[in-house]
Amino acid sequence: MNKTLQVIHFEVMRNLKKPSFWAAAILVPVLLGVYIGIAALAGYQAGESLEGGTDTSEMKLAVYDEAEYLETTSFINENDEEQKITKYEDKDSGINDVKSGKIDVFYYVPKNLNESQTIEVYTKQDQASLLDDYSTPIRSILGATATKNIDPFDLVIVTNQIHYNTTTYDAKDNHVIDLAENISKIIGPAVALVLFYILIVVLGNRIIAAMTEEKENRISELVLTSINPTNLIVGKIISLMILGIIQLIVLVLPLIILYKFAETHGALPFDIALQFDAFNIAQYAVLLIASYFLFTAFCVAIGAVSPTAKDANSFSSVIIILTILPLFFINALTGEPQAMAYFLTYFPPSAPITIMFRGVFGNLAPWEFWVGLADIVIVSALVAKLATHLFRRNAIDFTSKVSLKKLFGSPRTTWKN
Amino acid sequence: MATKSAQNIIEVKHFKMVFTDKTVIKDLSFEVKQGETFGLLGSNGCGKTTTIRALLGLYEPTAGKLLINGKKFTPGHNIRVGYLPEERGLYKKENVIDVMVYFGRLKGLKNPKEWSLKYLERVELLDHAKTKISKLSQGQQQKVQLGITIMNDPELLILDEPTKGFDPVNRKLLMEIIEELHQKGSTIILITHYMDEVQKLCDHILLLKDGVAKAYGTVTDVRKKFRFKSLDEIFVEVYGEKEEENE
Repeated sequence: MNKTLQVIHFEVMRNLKKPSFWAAAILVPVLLGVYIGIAALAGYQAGESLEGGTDTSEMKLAVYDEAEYLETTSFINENDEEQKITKYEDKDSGINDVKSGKIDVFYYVPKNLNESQTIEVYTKQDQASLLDDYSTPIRSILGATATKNIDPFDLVIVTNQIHYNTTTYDAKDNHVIDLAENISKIIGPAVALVLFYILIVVLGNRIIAAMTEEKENRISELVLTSINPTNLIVGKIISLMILGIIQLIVLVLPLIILYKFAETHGALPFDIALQFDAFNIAQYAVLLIASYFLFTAFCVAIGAVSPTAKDANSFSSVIIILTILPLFFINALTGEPQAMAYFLTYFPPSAPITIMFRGVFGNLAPWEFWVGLADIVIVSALVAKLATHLFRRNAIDFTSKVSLKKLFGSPRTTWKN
Repeated sequence: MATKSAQNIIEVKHFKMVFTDKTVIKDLSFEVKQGETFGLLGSNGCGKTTTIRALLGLYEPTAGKLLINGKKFTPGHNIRVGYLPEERGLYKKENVIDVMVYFGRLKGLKNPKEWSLKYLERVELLDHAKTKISKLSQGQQQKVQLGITIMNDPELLILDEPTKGFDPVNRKLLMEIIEELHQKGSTIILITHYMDEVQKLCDHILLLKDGVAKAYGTVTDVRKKFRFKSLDEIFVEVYGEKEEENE
């Protein structure tokens, strides 16, 4: 097997064997899943609470209607059965019966209801049910009484149940903007943006460590008399790319499975059926891989001239800041692009996130995407070449710090291949 | 032992090495014949390791030619080389057998696992084949490094201060291995400060000081030049003189 392939095999397999790689790879989707789960559960519970409140179907309910407003004392409970509320003739006996446990809930409708607009609810509760809401039965009865003499259509208007069908024309060429189609164009850049950010966070340090490991552990000489540095560094870069792609698959696969499951079971948390624009997704998948290649190349170059991972970290922080620079200029990216947006789009380190952001906001012309992508690919290749050169010069420089003299000064190590 | 008709396996001609503003090697020429054991001697910082690194292509010489088998060295192309550097380590987080197999593959072995297991058995480390390198003692790590150095049955074995930090057991093992390879006809370059090792193993020696060879020839020739003093006395005489600051 070719020596570069041996390096790839060694680097990929030893990372895949490490629990820490899988912990880092799985941690993000798990945390994301837990976050979404908690948010969905909280939303569901809030919705339940708003719609139905506490189930009172097994409870004894009573009311004293001093205002003589209620025209009925029955309502449809949680089990879709008609449930009656017992009428009381005074407030005190109702409260006393709640205290003694004869009834569970007592409603007092005061004589001046139209002025106070308040109904008193009395219950006996323990700590666990302190937040329960028992107002649903009396709400239903009040609603039924109030709407008895209203025209059903007026009721639809008053309760805001009219549907509004919106047609939006594009500001530039007046074509009708289809919401589902618009969302389909956002999926590619939005997903790429999230994944790229996760890759930087999860794999940044791993790239640096992979590059400085031979120097830190004094293995360089042993390795470099068996393989030339170009083969070694190319093998390392390719293995880091493979690990990044494995990380992406670990991130994306559960999302696809989850989406397909939710779609099949009609459990999508939104009403619009998503359309997937294959070309758009492919475009941003390529951009994502090119962006990761660019980030890797920068980190490899830094690792190549640093004696230890610790020394490299301060320099890699600069690259990370330049990469996430667009996050500090979000306002410049949302509207019509101005000078700052163009600068960030074509400044190589910030180009990936800027292009993805502008793709989400829909203000990136197709030609800008392709020029930006070409910019990233070309710069990645140049930086990777520079990284290889720097690695050759500094592969057995075990101690000295990074300096301009070291980068471009007289040769230490050189291999002619 | 090398015969008179043996070919030169190493040729160094007018080698000069300058690092930015420091001249480490001024003008160095020597030859090593196939099958001989060659001692490269000198005090710390005199340029021995620099010479070896330049010979193995790890440094680009400022001037001169450093040839192995008549060519500039490139890994895996012109000769099987085993190199035990002075600065040596291993992939600490990996297990012994994985590291050995990786190096075996890089060195072009057909069955690196089989060779590695056999070697580990010989040096009583078979039980540690799956142990992480970082969990091994210093002496055990040295055995693994030595195994990696010789696993490709080197035609040229370069040992840079090989016994530095070795315990007596590993030192004995190293001497056995050197002897075995020498019997097989391997050429050995030994960089050491231990004159007893030089006396015992080397055919030719070169004493390096101030970037030039102060003495070069067979052990007998060199001793003759220094009025048949012992190698230890010669070392003290040569390196006891005030040295120019170079490396």
